[in-house]
Amino acid sequence: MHLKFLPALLLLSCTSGLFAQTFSGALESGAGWWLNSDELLPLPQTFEGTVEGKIGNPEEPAGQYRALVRTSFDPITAASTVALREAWVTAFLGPFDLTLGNQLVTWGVTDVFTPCDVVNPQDRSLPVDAEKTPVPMGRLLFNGEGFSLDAVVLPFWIASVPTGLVVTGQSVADNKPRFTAENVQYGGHLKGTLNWQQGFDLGLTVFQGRNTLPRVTRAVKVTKDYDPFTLVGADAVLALEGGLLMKTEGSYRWVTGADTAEGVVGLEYNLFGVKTLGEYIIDWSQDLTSVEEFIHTFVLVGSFDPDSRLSLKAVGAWNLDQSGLVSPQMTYTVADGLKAELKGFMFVGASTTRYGTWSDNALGELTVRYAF
Amino acid sequence: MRKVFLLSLTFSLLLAGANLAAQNLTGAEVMAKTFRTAKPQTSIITMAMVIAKNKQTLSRTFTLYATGDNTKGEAEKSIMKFLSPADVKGSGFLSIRKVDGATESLLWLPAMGKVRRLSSSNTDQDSSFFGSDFTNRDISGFIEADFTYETTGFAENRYQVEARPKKPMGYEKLVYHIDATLFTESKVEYFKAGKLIKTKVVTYTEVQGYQQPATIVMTSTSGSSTTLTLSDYRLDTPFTDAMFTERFLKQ
Repeated sequence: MHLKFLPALLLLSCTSGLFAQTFSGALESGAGWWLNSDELLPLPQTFEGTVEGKIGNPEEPAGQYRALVRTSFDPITAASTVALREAWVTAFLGPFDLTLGNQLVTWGVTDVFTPCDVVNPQDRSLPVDAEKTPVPMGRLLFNGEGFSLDAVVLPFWIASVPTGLVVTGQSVADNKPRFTAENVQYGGHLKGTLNWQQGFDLGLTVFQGRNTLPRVTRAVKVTKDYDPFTLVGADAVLALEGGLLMKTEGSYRWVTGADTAEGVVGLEYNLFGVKTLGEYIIDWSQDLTSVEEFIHTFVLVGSFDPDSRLSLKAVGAWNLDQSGLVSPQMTYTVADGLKAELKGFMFVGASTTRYGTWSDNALGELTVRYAF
Repeated sequence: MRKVFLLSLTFSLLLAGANLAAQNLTGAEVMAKTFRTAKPQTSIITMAMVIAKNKQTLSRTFTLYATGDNTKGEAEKSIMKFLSPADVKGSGFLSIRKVDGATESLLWLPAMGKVRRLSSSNTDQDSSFFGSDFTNRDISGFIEADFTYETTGFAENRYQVEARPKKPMGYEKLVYHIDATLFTESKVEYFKAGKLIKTKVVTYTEVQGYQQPATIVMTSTSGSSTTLTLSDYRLDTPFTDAMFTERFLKQ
């Protein structure tokens, strides 16, 4: 089914110049290794091809488009896949931007934990490197004076890829939502900007959808349900004189019998040349028996570029259940468009804790990516 | 014969007088003229940046859209849109510097899918501009009122003006070499902790009656250098404030 898009992409590429169109792509290859054993982790080898461009005057275009196809080879299964990632067209209609197609939408202001960023499902097969999945949707963005209103409609519900072992089999009832009007997801994000200090943004999010990860019930048989929810969220970012950036974001999700809430407060500052970000995250949940749970997490991220080629980053997360994650990362630009990245993920804590449950999964990754 | 001699003498005296008057400009006066040389109201320029170190190079190409002039009481607005290499293509940086010097900055990274607000401290301003030998402050431009100026010399039709910052910043002093006819920067030397750390050399070209930089070369004493080559000038093209918004930044 995905191969149908390749001729269309080829046709688009032949109209080069008609719509200020560009073709670009990227090749990525890499390997990982489990730090607690001598086993290697084969990472998918990928090729991405992108066609994008503007329609009309480049400075005042009438429209814009983008299509991105990813092909990948999974060394574990020796299978190749072709996936259409993004494929959208935007029409600029006065103050409105109307975008239709497979796209990614990002709401909210915080960086590591993002309570208001709920539109797209995610591939969480590697939880520390989760990737959002573009999905078909209609998006209407109104650009006002000092504010914007972003509304989305998602007619087709698509599941996230969960972390860990996927539960399948004949004794599993996977109650994925059907493609009916009742299961259409929709929502909006209102953002306003005030002229205060070096800039102050406020946002409000409302979204009606269905969870993209299942609630698994184990009774006579295993049942996977994707509960409907209503989310209301807010976010704010203030850039202060003197270089301090303050961010906050929070959301409350009404889910039948099992509400959840998440709040994040973050500070960003350039500390002795190291761009430093700190976040405090509080998660609250209530299960079907009304038992409440609070999870407190602290995150610290430091980024430093010693020169034009080398970038260093360290990410640390600590949970009050005495578990944590440390991830050192290094990126080296070998030449224009060619980068090598070395990353490590280490988990500490007891096996019953949030991060400690992954303590046997300490991982190192080396990837090389060439973008052209 | 005597008339010719008197005419020549008069002319020479007038010229010397003018020259002497020119040499008597204070540092503040020289820099005031430099900051106020005729500039286009709007400009769209393509810039190619090549960072050279240890015989290896990295390059960046971007389009700069700019308008406004703080010396005229206007906010200075600019957008940089990266064209190459492929891993940064589509990224954009919007900066609005108000008359009081306060700066608002937004960064668009297509891979992140959202516009990020940036803060701007002295440390940020003195950080490297995308890994080059320029700092962010070098690129955005200095504010005239942030320095005291003293003329320290005049040679080869150029003023030598020493500028010292009134508040702490990444440089201890700058030494400007200003063309006495056009009042443009020919060379700037940057000092820190008593030592020369880098030198900027600028060549100009006339476009639509304006003196526009054609190449800007920043050479560090550490051995690296960054060359900015400007081309495809479109000056005084009418465009609205709608160009300096998140919407245009993401397009």
